[in-house]
Amino acid sequence: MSTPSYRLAPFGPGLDLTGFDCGEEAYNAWLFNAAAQAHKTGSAHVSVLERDDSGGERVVGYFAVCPTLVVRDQMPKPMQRRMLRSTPGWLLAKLAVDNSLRSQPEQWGRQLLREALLAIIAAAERGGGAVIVVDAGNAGLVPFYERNGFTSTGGTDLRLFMKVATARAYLLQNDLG
Amino acid sequence: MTATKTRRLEARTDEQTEQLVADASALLHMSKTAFIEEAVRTAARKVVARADVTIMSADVFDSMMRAIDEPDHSPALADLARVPHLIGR
Repeated sequence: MSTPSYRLAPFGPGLDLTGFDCGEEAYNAWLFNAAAQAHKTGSAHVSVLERDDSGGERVVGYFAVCPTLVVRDQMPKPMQRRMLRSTPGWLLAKLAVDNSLRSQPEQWGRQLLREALLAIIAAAERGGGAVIVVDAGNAGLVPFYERNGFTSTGGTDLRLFMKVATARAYLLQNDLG
Repeated sequence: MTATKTRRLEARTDEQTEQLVADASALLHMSKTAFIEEAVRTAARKVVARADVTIMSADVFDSMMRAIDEPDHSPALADLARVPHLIGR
């Protein structure tokens, strides 16, 4: 049996989503029901991780990226005119890998996260935006993102952030060898 | 949608665009007004659907913006950079 290969591809028709299960029903349902619509309307850019083995290509992971506006909280009105109140950024809205890739020495979740960050760095080069935000989705995933360079936005939700400049400095430098 | 139409939107345009709109609306057997209204509504919905807001605490925001273009020190990202590269494109 040959070793499977893995590649990143844009979401599109003809993908084999059969059997995808990341263990979180909301994330499974989003891939099956909402990803196509989000991609079609342009509300999010969806990329999939495909595994190619002797049985053909199958989706075993995905991530979704969309623009976000990062807004400063608790701005007293008299100060609003003098200070910057918001800045554009990119939101990693969804990221999930199939259960079959969990707890492997290859660290597929982290590899896919790195791909998502590289995609956002490239988008920022073209369209601006200096902040990367991630929506952890549930509290159990916050430590995963913290271990990979994100810090809390200090807001009340499950969003964390890093600067595009930081991601670029560490990930592009490594990519260039 | 059948809301009462009490508002007016006006836009200046060039002759070419006007003719293009006339041709397109004729192809769809729609009035120019109905065609433009539908096109504008679709485009506006798309923009609204894309809008997402992240609320950041004032302290974190101010600290971030003071050096937005300067990379932070991040051992975690240095470690992420060292993870095997097995995903092709």
